[in-house]
Amino acid sequence: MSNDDPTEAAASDAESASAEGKVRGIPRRRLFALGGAAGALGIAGVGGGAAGYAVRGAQEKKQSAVHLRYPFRAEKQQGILTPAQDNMYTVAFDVTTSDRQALIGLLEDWTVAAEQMSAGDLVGGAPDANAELPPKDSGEVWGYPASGLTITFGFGATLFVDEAGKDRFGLTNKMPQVLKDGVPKFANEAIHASESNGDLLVQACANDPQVAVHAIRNLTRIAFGTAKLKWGQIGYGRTSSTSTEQETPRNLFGFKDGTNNIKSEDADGELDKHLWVQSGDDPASDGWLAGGTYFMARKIHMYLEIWDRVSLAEQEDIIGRDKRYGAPQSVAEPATDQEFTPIDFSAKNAEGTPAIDARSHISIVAPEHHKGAKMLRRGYNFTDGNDSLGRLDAGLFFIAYVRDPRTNFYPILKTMAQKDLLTEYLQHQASALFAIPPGIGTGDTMIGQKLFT
Amino acid sequence: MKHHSALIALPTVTLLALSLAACTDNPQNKKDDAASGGDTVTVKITDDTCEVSPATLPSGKVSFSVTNKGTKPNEFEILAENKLQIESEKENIGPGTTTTVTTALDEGTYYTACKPNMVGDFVGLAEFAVTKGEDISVDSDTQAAEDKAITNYTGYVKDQVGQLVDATKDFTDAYTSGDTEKAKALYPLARQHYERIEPTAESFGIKEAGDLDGALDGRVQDLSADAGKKPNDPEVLADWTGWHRIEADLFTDESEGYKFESEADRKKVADKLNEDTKTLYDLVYGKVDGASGAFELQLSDVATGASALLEEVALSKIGGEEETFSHTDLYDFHANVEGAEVAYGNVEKLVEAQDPDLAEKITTNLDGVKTVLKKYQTGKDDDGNILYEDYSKVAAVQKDAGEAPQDTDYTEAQQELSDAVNALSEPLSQVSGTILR
Repeated sequence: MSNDDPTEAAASDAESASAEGKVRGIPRRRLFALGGAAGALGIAGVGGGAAGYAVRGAQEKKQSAVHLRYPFRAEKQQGILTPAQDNMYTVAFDVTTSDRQALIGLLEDWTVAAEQMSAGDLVGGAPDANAELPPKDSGEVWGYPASGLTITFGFGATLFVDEAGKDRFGLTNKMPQVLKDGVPKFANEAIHASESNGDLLVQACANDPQVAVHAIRNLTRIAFGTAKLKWGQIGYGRTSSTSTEQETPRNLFGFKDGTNNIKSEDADGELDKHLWVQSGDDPASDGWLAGGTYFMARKIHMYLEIWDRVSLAEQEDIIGRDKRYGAPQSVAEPATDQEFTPIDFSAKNAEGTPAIDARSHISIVAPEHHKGAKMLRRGYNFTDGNDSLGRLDAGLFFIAYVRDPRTNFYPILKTMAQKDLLTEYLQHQASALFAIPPGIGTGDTMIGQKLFT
Repeated sequence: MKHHSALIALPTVTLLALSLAACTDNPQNKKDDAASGGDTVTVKITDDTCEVSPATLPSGKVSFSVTNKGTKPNEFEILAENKLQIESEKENIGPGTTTTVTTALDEGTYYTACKPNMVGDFVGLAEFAVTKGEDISVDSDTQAAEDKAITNYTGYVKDQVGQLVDATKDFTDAYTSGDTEKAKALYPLARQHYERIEPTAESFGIKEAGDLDGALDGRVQDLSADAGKKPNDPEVLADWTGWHRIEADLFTDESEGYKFESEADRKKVADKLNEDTKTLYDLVYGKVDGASGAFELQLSDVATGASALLEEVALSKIGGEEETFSHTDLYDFHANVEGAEVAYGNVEKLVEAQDPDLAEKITTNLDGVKTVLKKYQTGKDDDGNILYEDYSKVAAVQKDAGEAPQDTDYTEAQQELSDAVNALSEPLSQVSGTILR
């Protein structure tokens, strides 16, 4: 990977990234210049008609996306408000040691490796002079740009207490109530325990799938003997936009999803209200979790074969938006720029019935129907092959970051599981809840340092 | 063993002498590699500087006392003359802390540098000159320890092969005389002598007969895959010799198509097994030459012996492919681990001298594997051999060369065994690089 000056990235704003990077021997200055020139061409629209422009634009976007580099040390962890990358590999580990020092050692080693990989460096930095040693880095992204890699860490309930309620690492008195309570049961779910929760969470997101997989692979290797992989999920096609500059993507039902999401550009007050844990939220965990957040994931299998046989009109009624532009059904004649038109739940159609069904997906999950509660959605599509009947094993790996799932997530999911028209086409198969500590401070030597001191 | 530039293994030298002495006199001090003797260099780090003083020293053991006076975690590296490869390093030195990096440097040009946050370009990259001083070519203690490791391990390999010849004879006698129960009981025990040294035996083919390991220990799954035919296809069976051919005959019933038709067939395969085992014996005892000359072990064979044995376990023992008819995999597993313990034991002192943390990690994780294995021991036979549970009773296994278990079938016992093997394999993979030079 490239050997960039970290101070450039560190000096830049937490949410902006350095587009500079050295790729396979091309000096980064030159690449940057190329990117700049290409960008200008794109804007000028030089080069053969609208179609050519679109293709070129997409390629350029892709080109520049792999040169993104996010600073690892910041007030908040990356991978939350960071503009959602194209690929995700999220895993949970179970800690196999009972030695607190060994756990701390793992978190320190992970922190160093994560910082190096996020910068586009090799794990362990330069290669060792001793050719008899196995290389520290597995090497499959050697010379690749950082590709906007972010690695986000979290702590699960079972890190604090085991199944018998025993304190594992002397952390119980710092355990947040949210983790103690756990996730309630919901209607129509079929949760597999072996694919749910875990002691430690690692979410790796990047604009090159190989970079995301490399990150998890190398962190897994570092963990041998201390922690082992419990479950993992590879996701593609981000299903949310976390920045106003990103287009709303489509889910596997073909609809624009997560239009009404929290965005990084939202006012700090909004983010503090819905996303970040505030000092005083929970006395037990205040010391280490204030400024952090909670990670809530649901692996949702989608019955694609069934959905694909549903008429367009019914699909749109189930979602509550038109399929082409993503405009809410309260817009009588949807057009290209009406995706973000505010939803009017009181609008009536020509027959005088409500334009948006009260059981439609957007109505069920609308913040105005949940005391204004919002969440930051950051999910990905997944396709894990197929079953023996030839049906795709596919769906949505739903991820939400919230200040408190008890107010910002569970009530919404409860209503959805009971009433949402969409629920007929879905099944929740796994669930994960983790506390996400704030970012890594300038002098910190490990993630979650305050939890362990 | 490949001979690399002296640069690589220099740290062995003085440290080894120290720790060998410590081991004899005062075992509890064996990990004391602190700066007793040798020169000390002071390194002062800030976020944008990396001061090393003095910048010139005579060759020999050097301790760098590194203090981070900056605000960021930092890294101190000693680089080779090409400024690319790391000779020695210390990562994640927290602000306000002091640590010691000890290494031995030969005469030559090096570079020292820091790296705030362990990423990006070097800070304060500076030349560090090592002039001719103390001769740090291998001292007699190190050489003696290495020679001893090779001698001892060679002795072990010979001993196991010697026992294998006798045990194989006893096993085939029971088998050809029709004492099936005795043959079944002796089968896993006799094989243990081979499993303890398998990677070493494997690496020494003989000119005339080709692949000795294939003849002794070939698996029908591989033969059938090569031939593109079913495992019990007569054509596949015709080419199959060795332990597992007899295993299939002993542990399956008529319906599966592995039984021999006559006692003469049994005698033929038994004789061939004894013959091939004798060839292995002759090879190891220097009576015949192998494909690559006379049998002679190098330090690298000892150093890689342990990790190669663990690879055997991870690859074919966990899923029960090795003993697909008899399900005596836990006997092989036990023997592989014993063999690894002996191989590592012969170089343990060399590892300790170089990297005491690594040595401790290996010891801990070796105990971990043995503890897990113990759970499945069912007792001892009259000769004191440890007996094991049928692996198919505790694990999802490949039965009778059929379909391999699905990933989701793996039992908790298998997961626990696999975790323990992984935990041991990672540090064992560091052994060669740590002691070879």
